[in-house]
Amino acid sequence: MRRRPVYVALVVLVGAAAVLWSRGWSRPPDLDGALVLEVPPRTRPDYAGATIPPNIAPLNFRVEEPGVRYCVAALLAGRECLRVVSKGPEIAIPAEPWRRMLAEGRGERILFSVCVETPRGGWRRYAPIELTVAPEETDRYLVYRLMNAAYNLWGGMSICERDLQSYKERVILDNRSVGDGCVNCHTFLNNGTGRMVMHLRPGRVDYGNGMVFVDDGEVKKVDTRTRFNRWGAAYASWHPSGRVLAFSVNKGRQLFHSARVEVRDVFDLESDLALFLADEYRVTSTAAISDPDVLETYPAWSADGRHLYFCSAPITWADRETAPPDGFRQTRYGLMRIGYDAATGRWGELETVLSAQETGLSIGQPRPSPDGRFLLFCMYDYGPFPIHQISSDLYLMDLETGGYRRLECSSDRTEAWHSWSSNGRWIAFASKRDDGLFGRPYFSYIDPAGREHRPFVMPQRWGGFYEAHLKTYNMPELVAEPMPVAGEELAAVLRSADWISCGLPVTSPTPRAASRRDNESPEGGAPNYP
Amino acid sequence: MRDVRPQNASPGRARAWALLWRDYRLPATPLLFFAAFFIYAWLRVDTRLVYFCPTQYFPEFTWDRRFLEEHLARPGGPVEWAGALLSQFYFYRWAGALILTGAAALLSLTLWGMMASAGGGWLALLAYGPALAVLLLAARHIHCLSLVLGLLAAAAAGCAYVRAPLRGTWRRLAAFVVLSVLLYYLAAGAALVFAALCGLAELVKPGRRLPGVLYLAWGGAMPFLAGGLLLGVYAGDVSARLLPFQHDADPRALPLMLALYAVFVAGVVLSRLKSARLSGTDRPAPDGAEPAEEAARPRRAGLRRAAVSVGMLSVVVCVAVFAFDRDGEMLLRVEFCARQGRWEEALEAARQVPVARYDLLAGSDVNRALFHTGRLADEMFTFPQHSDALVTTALALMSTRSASPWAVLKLSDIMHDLGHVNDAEHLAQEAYEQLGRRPWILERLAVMRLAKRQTEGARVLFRALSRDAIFGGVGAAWLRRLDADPLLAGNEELRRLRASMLVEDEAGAPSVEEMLQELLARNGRNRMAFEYLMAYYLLNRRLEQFAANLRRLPEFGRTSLPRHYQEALLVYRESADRPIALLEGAVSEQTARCFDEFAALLADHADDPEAGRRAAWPDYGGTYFYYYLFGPGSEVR
Repeated sequence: MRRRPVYVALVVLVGAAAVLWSRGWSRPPDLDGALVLEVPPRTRPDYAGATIPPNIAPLNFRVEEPGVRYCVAALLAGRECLRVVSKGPEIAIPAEPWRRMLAEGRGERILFSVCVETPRGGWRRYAPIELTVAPEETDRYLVYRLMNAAYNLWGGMSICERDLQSYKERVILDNRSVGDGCVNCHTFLNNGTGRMVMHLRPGRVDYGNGMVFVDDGEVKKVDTRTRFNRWGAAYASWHPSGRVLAFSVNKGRQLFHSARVEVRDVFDLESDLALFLADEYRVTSTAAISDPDVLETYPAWSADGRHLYFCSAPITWADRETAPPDGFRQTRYGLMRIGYDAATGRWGELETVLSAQETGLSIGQPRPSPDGRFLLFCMYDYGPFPIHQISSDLYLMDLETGGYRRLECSSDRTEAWHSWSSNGRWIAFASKRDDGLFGRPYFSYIDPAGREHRPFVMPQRWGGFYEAHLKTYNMPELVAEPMPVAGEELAAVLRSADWISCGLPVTSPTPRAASRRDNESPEGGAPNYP
Repeated sequence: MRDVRPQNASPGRARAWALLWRDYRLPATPLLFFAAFFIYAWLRVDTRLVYFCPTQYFPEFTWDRRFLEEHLARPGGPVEWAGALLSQFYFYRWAGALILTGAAALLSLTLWGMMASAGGGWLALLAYGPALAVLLLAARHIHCLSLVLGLLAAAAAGCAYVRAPLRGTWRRLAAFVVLSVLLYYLAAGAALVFAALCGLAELVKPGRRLPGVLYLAWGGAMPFLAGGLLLGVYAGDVSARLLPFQHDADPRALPLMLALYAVFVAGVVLSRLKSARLSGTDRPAPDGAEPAEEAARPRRAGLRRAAVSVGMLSVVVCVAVFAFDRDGEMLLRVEFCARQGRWEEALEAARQVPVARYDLLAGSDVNRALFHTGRLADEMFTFPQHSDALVTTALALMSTRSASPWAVLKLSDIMHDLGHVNDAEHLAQEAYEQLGRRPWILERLAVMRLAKRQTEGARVLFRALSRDAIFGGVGAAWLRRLDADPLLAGNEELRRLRASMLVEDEAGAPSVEEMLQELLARNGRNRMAFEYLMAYYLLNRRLEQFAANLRRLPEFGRTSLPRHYQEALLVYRESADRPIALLEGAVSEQTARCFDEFAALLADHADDPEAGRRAAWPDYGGTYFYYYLFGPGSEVR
């Protein structure tokens, strides 16, 4: 019995030695005689040249050069701030030195010096990898939908919240907890979580179809369907005041291409816009944004709340039931805006901001910057759904001049589902640049002059994370604070609460265009529905 | 199982070891039983059929850090991870048999361990109950290994609790709480089984009713406290995970799993009751001397053992013979062989499927097998046929969530063979949504990306495949080949796909006929598209179109008409409104004679067509005449 402490100590020592050995601490690397190469090392992910926020988690990566030991040092202004020695190519950067280095290095460049010990012995020093630390932070959280590359059927999907300062991912809503329903289109008010909505569609178990409205942590289920809009809310945008949510109602259909690289496609046979008055649980609209002969979609409020931006295209097909409609490949959306006074509910003038005739492309997902200066959107060959269009790129419009240009942070593959940080200096977007198949969350710095900087993929705990990750990141939204309600707490309400209806029972005969206009107020303001 | 005595005596150390040895030495009967179990599971059950079965109840597994972390982060995850890993080894027939035998033996051992205090006799038979239930599950090809492992964890913990030499209520209570919390993490809802076993074990013990009730109450409440409140587990999973009530468990497993639980509960309760009775009437003398009755036991033991063995053997034989789902096995074997391109074996298995069990899925495999062996146009009507069996079901199936993953995967297989790359990819992805990362789905998706020269997307999928427990080497081999040639221009399969894949994009939902015609228009040498188009016309009795396309036959190297085409031509000539002259030698004498005899037989039964059908079936059931006249589903059963 007296020998027990000795055995314990022995086990601890052996364990510690094993850990040290596995981390390559058996002997310090001798880098003095290293062979200096002029090429940077191949790494995964490739962060070279990226501009990163000072509050991002360590950019762990994998060195894709053959070797038996790896030594990575990070230098700020020539001073070594941290060093990682590893027996394997996975470089795990310690969090605390990394955080200190970024805090000191705002606006500075940092260099990663990568040295690899070859199997024959001897070290190789590669040309350093350079990154720039931006002066401004990004919002701390990124909320996205994580799902398979789904077609008609969907399996597991969840809306997740990632703490960008660490690798912690929290599940906001897992669809298994709501009967395998489809959860989508999370939309936040002013990059906060005080007010947000997302949508729920029934799956294996029918918990209803509608909008989930989280108001200061209180969860409500809202059925936005009325006699006016037969379908539930889809793409949405909060008015900066938080009192009004603009949303689209889309009669969408999925199509499958027989010979295109991207098999999937989505098309709207009809779509309109409407407003949800959050304090009154009322839905309203006006003819200018709900023309039965026009497709209106992707609403987005301007930073000052005085304009509602949206995309629109004329409906050129007579048959509104059959998909695909004739000439759908020629349908190109233009960018529109309409004035709105949230205090009175009065609509203003409808204006064309950028026409499809001018661009020759289809415009989607407009997102004004929080400072009101820029408008970020994507353009692609046709239709309303950029994530399934290889041609989709990000564009930035200067709202003061009206000029626009393609962002260089776009790739030759799909970019879409972009969002702004609350300070307007960062954008997050889904990009399929790596493999053409799965959307990955990328970030790019937009400096005060509106210049974009080289983007980087959301860092993960290990560098090879994305190389075999079969989930796609959908709709990455930057938010400054964590969701007040999540997981089973949220799901339990969704399973049990009653739906709050915004209109007449939807089982009644559904009037279309004629009655829509009947319901409009004479002065062109908000129509009044019971 | 061995005869044991009551445990409540206070033996010395040597005596305790002797008792322990007597309890746990390996007796011959269980060894023989489980050896026979293994042989049966190995040679008869064939776990490979379960591994290859496209059902959502078979768990996905990958050597992936995130996959492991996700499992370790939730109650029940560790056992589910272990169950998923072990399930992969069903790929090897012997390993699957070993896993089944091991699970059955361990379940029996734990039950026996819990019952040991009650002695042998007829109760010992009960210890074989779990093994029989596992045998039944295997014989019915029901896969619920994770549920079995969950029960095993609960039973092992229950055995440890019952057998632990813990004295005092508080110690026992503490042990129970620690074990139940640990078990809840490892096996989620299976902790309820543990609580039930321990609670009942205490309840039936005189003077221990209160702890028993407390255990049951704790067992019921703990998942909600730990899972629901502390860990935020989804309410449906809080207590049902790793029990057959969980929503994603195979519903066929429910009765057998309930029987398994019942055996454990009965074993614990009965053994405790018997133990209590023995301790009251049969207590050994303080000096360790055996009571007089004990001396007589060895004389009866031989007889009892023999009776037990005979009874057990009878039950086992009954289960092994009568419970085995042979028809189901043959259907699974068709799938198993077709998945691996073992076409002759697939046809052999399909011939053993009774007509009543023959379904569209088997039919589509049979037609593929016939095509790949070059016999589609000669033998397809020797198997039951249905117009949907050719391309399984319409693409419209995809628009519903009720689409069977098996059907979806089957359709993807057909599209792949036809060279319709986008549809094969689309359908494989739909199957992926329901079945998870099965290796052949990942490979299909990756190869389709490669066919479209999308190397990077293929790499992601091959890397995922390389982490598969069984097919990892396949993925790694593809990656190595891609490193050498990113487009794999010399790969025969990719060349075929690239030559056949459509180039003119359409976004609608074409009919089967249109789709096959498009493929033929793209590649006139697409033999499968041609044969399927002809088969489609035959199945739908569209002989005008069939005859019109016969001119293409020489393009595929056929110098003579296949048997069914000859039969169809004869039918076409007979049924046409206008006289049709057949080329000399187009129809063989044998086929012509057969047709005449068939017509004569039907003429004999002109007054009773049903009798005519029955009379024609034995000799002409495999001809196109028969199908044309009586239609699909007209097989005599």
